Amino acid sequence: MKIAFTLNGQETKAEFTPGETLFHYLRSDEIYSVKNGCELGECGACTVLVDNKAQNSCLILMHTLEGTVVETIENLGSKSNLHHLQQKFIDEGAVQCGYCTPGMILASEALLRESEQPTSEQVKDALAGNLCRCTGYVKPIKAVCNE
Amino acid sequence: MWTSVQNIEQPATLLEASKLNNSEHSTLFSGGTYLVAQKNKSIHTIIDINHLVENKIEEKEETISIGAGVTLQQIAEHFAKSVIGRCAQQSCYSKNIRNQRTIGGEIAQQSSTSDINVLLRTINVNLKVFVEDQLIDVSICEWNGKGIISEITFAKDANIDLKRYAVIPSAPPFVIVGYNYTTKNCIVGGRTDRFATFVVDKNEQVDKALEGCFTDDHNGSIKYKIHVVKVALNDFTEGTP
Amino acid sequence: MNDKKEDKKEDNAEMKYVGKKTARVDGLALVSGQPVFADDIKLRNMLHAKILHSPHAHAHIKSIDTSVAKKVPGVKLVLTHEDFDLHYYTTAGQGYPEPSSRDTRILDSTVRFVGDRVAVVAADTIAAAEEAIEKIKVEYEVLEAIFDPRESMTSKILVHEQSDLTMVHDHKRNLIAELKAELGDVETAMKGCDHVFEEEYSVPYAQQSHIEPHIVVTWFDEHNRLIIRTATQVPFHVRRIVAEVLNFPVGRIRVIKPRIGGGFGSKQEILNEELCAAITLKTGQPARIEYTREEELYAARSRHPQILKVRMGVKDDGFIEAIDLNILENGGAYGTHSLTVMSVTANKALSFYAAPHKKLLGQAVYTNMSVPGAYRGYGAPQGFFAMEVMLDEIAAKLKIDPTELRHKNYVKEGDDVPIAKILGEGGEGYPMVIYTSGMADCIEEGKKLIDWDKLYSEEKTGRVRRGVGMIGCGQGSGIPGIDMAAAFIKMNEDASFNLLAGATDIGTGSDTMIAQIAAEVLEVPVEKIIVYSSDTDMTPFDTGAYASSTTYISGGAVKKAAEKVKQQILDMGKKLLKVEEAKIENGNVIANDGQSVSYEEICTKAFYTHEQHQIMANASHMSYDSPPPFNTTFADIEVDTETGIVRVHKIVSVSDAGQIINPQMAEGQVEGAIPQSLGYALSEFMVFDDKGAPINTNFFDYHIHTTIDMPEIVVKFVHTDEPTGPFGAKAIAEIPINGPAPAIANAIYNACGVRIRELPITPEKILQGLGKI
Repeated sequence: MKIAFTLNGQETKAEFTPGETLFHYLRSDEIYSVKNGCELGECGACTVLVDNKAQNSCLILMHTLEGTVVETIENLGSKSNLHHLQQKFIDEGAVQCGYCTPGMILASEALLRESEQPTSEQVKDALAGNLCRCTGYVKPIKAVCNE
Repeated sequence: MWTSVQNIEQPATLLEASKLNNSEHSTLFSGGTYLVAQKNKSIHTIIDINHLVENKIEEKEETISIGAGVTLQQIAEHFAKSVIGRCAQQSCYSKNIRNQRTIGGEIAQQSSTSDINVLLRTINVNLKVFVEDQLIDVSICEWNGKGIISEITFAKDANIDLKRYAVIPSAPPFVIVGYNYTTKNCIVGGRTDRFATFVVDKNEQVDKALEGCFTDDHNGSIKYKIHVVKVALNDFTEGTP
Repeated sequence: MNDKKEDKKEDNAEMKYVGKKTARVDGLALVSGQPVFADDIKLRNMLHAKILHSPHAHAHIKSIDTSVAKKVPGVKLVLTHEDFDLHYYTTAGQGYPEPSSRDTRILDSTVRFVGDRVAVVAADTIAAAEEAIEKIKVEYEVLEAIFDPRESMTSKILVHEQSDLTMVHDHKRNLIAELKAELGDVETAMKGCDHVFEEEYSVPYAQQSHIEPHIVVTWFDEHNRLIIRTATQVPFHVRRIVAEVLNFPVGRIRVIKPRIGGGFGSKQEILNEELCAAITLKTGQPARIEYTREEELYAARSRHPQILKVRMGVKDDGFIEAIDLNILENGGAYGTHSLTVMSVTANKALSFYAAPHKKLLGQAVYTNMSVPGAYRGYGAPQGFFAMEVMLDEIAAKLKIDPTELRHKNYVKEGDDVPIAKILGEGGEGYPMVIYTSGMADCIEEGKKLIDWDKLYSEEKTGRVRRGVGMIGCGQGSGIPGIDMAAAFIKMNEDASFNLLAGATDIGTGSDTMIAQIAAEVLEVPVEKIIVYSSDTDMTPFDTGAYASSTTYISGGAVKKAAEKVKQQILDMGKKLLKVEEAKIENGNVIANDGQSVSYEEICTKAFYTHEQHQIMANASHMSYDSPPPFNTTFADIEVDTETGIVRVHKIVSVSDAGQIINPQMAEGQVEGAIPQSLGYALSEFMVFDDKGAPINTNFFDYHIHTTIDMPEIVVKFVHTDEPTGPFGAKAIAEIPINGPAPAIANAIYNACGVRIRELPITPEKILQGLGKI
């Protein structure tokens, strides 16, 4: 099957087999910032933005993405030009092992695109689907709230 | 990957979708988070109806209608201040998934651990369902699970509430109790095999109505769960502490 | 010793990098999603392997027919027990010789728990491997299984029938390990006590739940050496054990530890590395094994369930005279870590209070259940749950404030801890003296932060009742006499330094911590330290990231190496300046007369023109001390007395971890440990059906805390200067996980009078305690 969509700012024509998930497609394409924590939609380590909304890429079948805009952490910032949320996560010590970090930053970014000054309740709600076993969420929440 | 899938059909009409969905190896797909997570190996054909179902919420003078393609997150936001929004939110702790999961899919799954499913039954919303070649109206409690849901409608003035019990807020609730103050109808869900539906009158009737509903498990005994339902009912009728 | 301590304080006041907020050295790569984890790599012709797990708790494999599986397109290799020689080893990633039972085969003809490995398939795609797994035909002779550890020792069912296993205490009684110890005379002391308390406590299976699953990739490099890129806490143990199991030379194996997505003990195990390497050895192709979340929850490792009987003899004034501890530990189907976890339970639980008479009987038994292993705290959370709930029971009975009862009884600075010598980790230990303890300050600080005096004694009425509870505990800083770490530092001409260390950063931040230590010694900014860690080809040895050892042991090695390099810089500087006396300041060597030479010049001249040599040094470090960090944890909770549901409002965790090297990361360690223990208390426990099959094998049902479940968390440190630690440091990684669960249990008692002696704390147990159902 084939679709056309925008991936990290690039017009992309994707070819895939019918049951392929976005998660599998991205990692096969060597976009390794989407992580596998469960492939069941429970952990959020594979979070991407689809049309500005945070979603779990392991639960998205490729054929549903025709015409959409998909973003991974690579679209927010790079090593030499970090996005302010990425910098904030470093500054606040919100990164420990870093495995959940790209997903968590993307979920935070989706919230900040919806609402510039979210309440801490909104931040917690937006990040509830991104499991983290290292930080107890204290510093990630702080990083987003102080944005 | 969902490796058993060989075909994806994107029919032009619900009638076509309904005809295509004719074997145990095919499934309807809208939102579809449950389906993708389960990756049922016997499925070879996915019939995608995302583009055929409405994704709008409409409020008229006395009624509300919700397209089957509306996501749980849309509902959570639209009804942010009411019990409907709260239940949509609580049905799934992950906002990421609420962005993906549709209300039509949620109802079709008939999962009793879903707050919103219990709530919609408590209201006893009307479903517009495409069965074979016609659109029928059926109440959610009477729906037999067949056909394609296209819309959910209900009266605005429903006087309802819902309580859920979980070991921590995001954990799957072991008991959910919905209560309709107008009809005194009570719906019980949670870690149950089915939804229990009964009119609240006396405690003894509660025991009977919940017979076979719960099992003894790590969340607690049947006796405990029935106790919790009674506490909920008492709180509804006597006022919440 | 006192003099030594005062010196330290002076040092610390002048420190520039230690004790200061320092951004993670790996932060940039992690936030920008760089391919730094084990699976972020693509290799040509890589095989994907899937494991066939046993559906039975106990069975002999009568036959395995792999012929159909091998015909699935894309399948390259199917391995069963028939493909391997008989060799028993332990999967525990421990120092050699491992104290754990050598009772595991790479693939065996008997399966001993639901989830045991039966066969492995390697194929071009995961789909092909999965399809082939389903087509392996196994004929099992299902055997009777044993699930109740209380029955293990007297059962006729033997989990391991073989009599030739080593490091198994008595296989005919399913007894993995037995520990007995006595200090003083417990029975006589009990007779002289005013009160004797005796209760039984129990704790369940719980799972580490790191978000990155176990993942290993193996291949042969250009020189035909076996590369193992794996998510591990113990790269050097992986190298040794894979070499042993596959009879392959250590010198031809390179284990690379990339960034690790959390371990918490689960990756202190050789879980699939040997099997993956076997595939590469047999096919010559790269191979990859990644566990699914479901496999993590039934075929990986977990926390040991224990039943703890505690008897304490106490005087009227609250002084504990005698402690008798009896541990029955469920070791599951294989003995890995069982002995050492149990010895840590005993060692930590018995060394925190100064009672003169102590006795232990610890028995770890086999069952046909899931295999527990290492999990943060490593036995201490089990032990402190029992000890600290009992202390609360004593406080209630004797009407002594629980904080006072602790003050009376915990070990103090200068105390000998004779039980530490009797009870080492898996064998006899080393003498222990408490050089530093901030316990008194910890408790006083904690009381203030939780508003103890008001909340503990206020009247509890109404349906929803608020309560507070507290605990005290200790841990260790590495395993004394066993853990060893080494580091190597070399200087570059721009005054940067390569620090190559065995220390294994598994997300803990140890790369940053050792960079701070090196920077502090060498008097250069942290950015000048280039850390490369934990690669068996490139870095010196380290026993690994476990037992709260990294700061104390690995940090100690780095400090020594840096000191040697600093001396070399000074010596070279003096030669260049042609002076006898000089000092180092701000990256310069400065003579008394004021002339100076920069680090850059020193290194450049050493490279090219003067006494040509590389300024570099290595150092190893081990310790017979393992100074305990101390912690107190307070919980503020509420109980709905009609439903039994508990909500936690606030956790206060105050620790004495000596000099904190990196305050932000240390806070992060505590903040992360707390929800793991909140889960242990309330929502996380593995559930098995009556056939021993685990039921809750996903994150929906095995429910860890999310953002919306978190109470308010308050983390504090009190300062001490540990004379044996690098810059006065002790450990912090494990200790904060001990407290929340027993503190919550104690807070529940304070709120509604229900005594919880068994985890998890389900709402039903509370209602039963209240007599409402």
